Amino acid sequence: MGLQIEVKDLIFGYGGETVLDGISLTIGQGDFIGIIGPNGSGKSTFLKNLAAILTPAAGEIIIDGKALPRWRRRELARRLALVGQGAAAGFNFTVEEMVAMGRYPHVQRFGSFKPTDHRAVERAMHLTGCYHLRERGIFSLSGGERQRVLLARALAQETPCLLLDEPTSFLDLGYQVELLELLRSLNQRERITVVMVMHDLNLASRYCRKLFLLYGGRIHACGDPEEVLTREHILEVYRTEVLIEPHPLDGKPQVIPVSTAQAGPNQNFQQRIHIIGGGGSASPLMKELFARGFSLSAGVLSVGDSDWATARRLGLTMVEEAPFYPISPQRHRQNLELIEKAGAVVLAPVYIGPGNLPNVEAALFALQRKRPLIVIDAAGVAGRDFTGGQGAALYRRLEEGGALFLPRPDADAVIEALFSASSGQ
Amino acid sequence: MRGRRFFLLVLLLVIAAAVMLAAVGIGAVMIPLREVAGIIWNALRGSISPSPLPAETIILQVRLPRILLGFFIGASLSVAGTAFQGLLQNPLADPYTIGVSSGAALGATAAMLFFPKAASTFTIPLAAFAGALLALFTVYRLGSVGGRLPVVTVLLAGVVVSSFLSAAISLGMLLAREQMRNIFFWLAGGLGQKGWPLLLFIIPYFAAGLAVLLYLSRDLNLILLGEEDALSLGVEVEQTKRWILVAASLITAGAVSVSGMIGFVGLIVPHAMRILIGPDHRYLYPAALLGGGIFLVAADTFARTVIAPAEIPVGIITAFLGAPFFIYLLRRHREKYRF
Amino acid sequence: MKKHMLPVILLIVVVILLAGCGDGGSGAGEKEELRIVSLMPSNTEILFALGLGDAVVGVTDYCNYPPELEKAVEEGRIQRMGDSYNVNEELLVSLEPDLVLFGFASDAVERLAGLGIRAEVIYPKSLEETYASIRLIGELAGCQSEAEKLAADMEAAVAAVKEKAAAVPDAEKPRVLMLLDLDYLYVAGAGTLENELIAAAGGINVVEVQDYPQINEEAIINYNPDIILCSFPFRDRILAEKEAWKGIAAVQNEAVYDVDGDLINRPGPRLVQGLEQLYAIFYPGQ
Repeated sequence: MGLQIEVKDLIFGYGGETVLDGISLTIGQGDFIGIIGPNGSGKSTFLKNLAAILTPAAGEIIIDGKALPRWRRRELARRLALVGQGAAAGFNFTVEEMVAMGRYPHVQRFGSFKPTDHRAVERAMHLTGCYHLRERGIFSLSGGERQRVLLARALAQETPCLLLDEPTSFLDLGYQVELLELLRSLNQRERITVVMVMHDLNLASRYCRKLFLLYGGRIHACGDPEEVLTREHILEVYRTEVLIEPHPLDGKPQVIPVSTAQAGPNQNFQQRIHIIGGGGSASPLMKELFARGFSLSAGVLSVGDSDWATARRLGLTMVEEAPFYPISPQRHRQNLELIEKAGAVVLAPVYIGPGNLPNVEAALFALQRKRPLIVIDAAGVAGRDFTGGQGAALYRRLEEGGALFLPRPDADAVIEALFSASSGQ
Repeated sequence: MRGRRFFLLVLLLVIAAAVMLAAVGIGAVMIPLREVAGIIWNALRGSISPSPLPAETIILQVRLPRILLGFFIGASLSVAGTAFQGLLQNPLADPYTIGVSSGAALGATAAMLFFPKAASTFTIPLAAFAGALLALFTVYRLGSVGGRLPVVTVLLAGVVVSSFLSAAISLGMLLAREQMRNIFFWLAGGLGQKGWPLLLFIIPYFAAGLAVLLYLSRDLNLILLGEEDALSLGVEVEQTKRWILVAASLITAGAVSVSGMIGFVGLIVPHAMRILIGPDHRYLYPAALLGGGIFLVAADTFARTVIAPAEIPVGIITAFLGAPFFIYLLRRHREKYRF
Repeated sequence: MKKHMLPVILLIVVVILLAGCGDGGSGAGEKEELRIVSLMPSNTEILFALGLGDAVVGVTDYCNYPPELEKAVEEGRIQRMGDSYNVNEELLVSLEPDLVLFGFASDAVERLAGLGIRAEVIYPKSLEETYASIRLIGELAGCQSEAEKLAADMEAAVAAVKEKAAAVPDAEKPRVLMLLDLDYLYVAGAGTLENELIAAAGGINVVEVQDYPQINEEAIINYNPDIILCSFPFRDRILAEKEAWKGIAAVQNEAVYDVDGDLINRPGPRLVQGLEQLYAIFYPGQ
């Protein structure tokens, strides 16, 4: 029963255009593999090569130690079942007839169905929840129902390996999860190998134990979801800025797109903006400026602090200090270095204590170095100064030094202020 | 479902027997059923009177071979149409789509043009058959791309070859006016005047072709799901398509070379049977065989009796009966029957 | 090619054209110019029989009589125009005819009239109409007397055969089937010229359906005709191949005859020959 698929230097092209450009990988019994990648990356083509529907131009696919061309189709169909996208079926077979066709590789040409065949068909229909549809013609089914019938047919094939080409594409949310749970339980209880092409990165991340990220016909990254679904990989392959957040239930990385338009820096203000925050005071502004394509850095933030978490998610350059420790001179210096190289600085309405007083001093440093400084201060500094007046004194010096005070952390106002400051220079 | 399909097949068989029996009795000359039965019984026992009565000659030499030929031609066209519609996944495909019939017509035309002396009821079908095979070969070569037979290229090749051959036939008719009439009549098609020898001529092709189609009926079912699905279910798709194409073409060639072009049977009967019995070719082929036979025998009986003793070309009757029936079926089963 | 031929034809016609009705030779000046196109074999035969052969400048591909026609075509004096249905009007006009005799109604008649060319549709469907057509052509071509003589001769010859045939009691008349096609069984029915000739020659046409129907094989067996006439050479095939026809009287007596269809279905002067042939077949030795 153990199934081993080995792909070596697989190359495939449609009429001179190379689609797969040297893919090598190994799939073992019980694997649950997701193949992801942008449109045109060759995911489906790869799957069709695996299923022997397309023939590689070069390279080898070896299944159970035997190269694909040497397999008889009928035998291969007892090892691999493919669930295609099943867009067109020309004739109105009933659901039961459709599913029963999954037994084709098992039944002799003029042989009749044995009890085992009937059981396999019924079980497949029950598992996929289409038993109640069995008398219906497939023309009368919805897209989702049809996709479940295709899965049922593949299950009726009773193969140790299922290949699925975007099995959830026509399904609504409920059925997507149901189908993936079914695949997971088949994988866990019966050690059925699952290889599926997925469009939905988050579902792929949650259900697949291993991901292959295809890009330009090559494997761009592979490994467990945490290794593959990183901000950098997604940016490289999908050219989209995303946030990676752990799923609240199982901690699997979830991909949250930020902006589709911004693959590069904001065109109007290309210098980096340094943000001084803490305690969540800077988070909304960081997210918004980030979304608009500004290049950002942050400091000094305590590890575990909510502003720190935001900066990390956004992948910002920042200076970190250990939690519950005052800002050390070394971190302070690093902060000043970032400020020196920044085009502008924003001071968020932080609560000021002895530990983070250097952050306000850093803002003063920005003024001294003629960096435009925007200070967000709504209700006055007095309410958030826990240093016995030292903080408030520094704020006064900031005001005298020409810092621009804004009442709210409003991104539009900040951007406008930045433009006027930078054009004023 | 199984029981229903079995019942329908038996029902079709009964109807086929009844229609053929009735057809033997009906004609320009009415012969009572009792006398018909007596004549057939005597013939089966092998006692043929040395100087037969006209009724005996009419039954044994004219009607029986014509009815049986009608049945086999109808069955051939309908079975071939079923296969082509499935294979090419095209509801408008029929035995004439892929140029086999035009090849047959050109073969017949060439025989009449170049060997008018030798052209006879027997040599013309042979020439037609050769033409059909030549057309099939051409379409096959034109339609195959890198060892495969993509549906689209086969269809296109069929259309192109058909048009080219039709033009060649027209040219032939223009160049040889003396034969134009013969060619024209041959193209119009008909079942009269063929007799037993031509019936025996087509049966081997029909039987061989049908055997291949039945053997591959389950594989064709899977190909209907889409070629990729069929491949993944273990069907050797290209081989299967090749065999089906050749078998259906052989059947068509046999039928067309004997009867000329009789339209509508190969287009409509498969659709009607698919509505009746479903798309599973294991049942669809037998149904199409019986349905096509019944349809053509009925149409031909109509053609030879309605203005007796004169005749109407049977192609006119198949079109007249076929088109409205088809529309009726389509309207009744619109939602169920979508291509 | 045709353009080059045209001056030659004109020259030949002008120089050689006999005056008026050929050997009738009335010598009237107006007739020297006469140029006639005939688009029906029967009309061509009538023209030649009237001695107007030299006035004919165009005929159909099917015009095959009289023999001198072929010579005139070879020498380029007469142009072949295609069939009776599809007339190339450019070619027609380029021949500069004075008179065009169509075999079928054509909208070209009016267009030609617009060009000052006289055009008539002449397609007789019976003996009477044939006589009338001959007289009409005589009138159009200005040789009434020749036409009158030809028609009267035909009438007399036909009447002679009819008289002999009328003497035979109906019960003794042969029952006749006239076959036009063996593979599709097209036959001559009631109301056709063939039917009229069969009756005139003392036979009874077994087919009562109008015109030229396609007929059941079993109907033929049931008619059981005494004589089968074939307008194309089908005799040998009928006797050799047609198992089902073995019981028919005509086949048993080998009374199956190939006749020259041109003599029977072409409404021209030669109908008399056809009629006499039929009579000879029906009543051999008389």
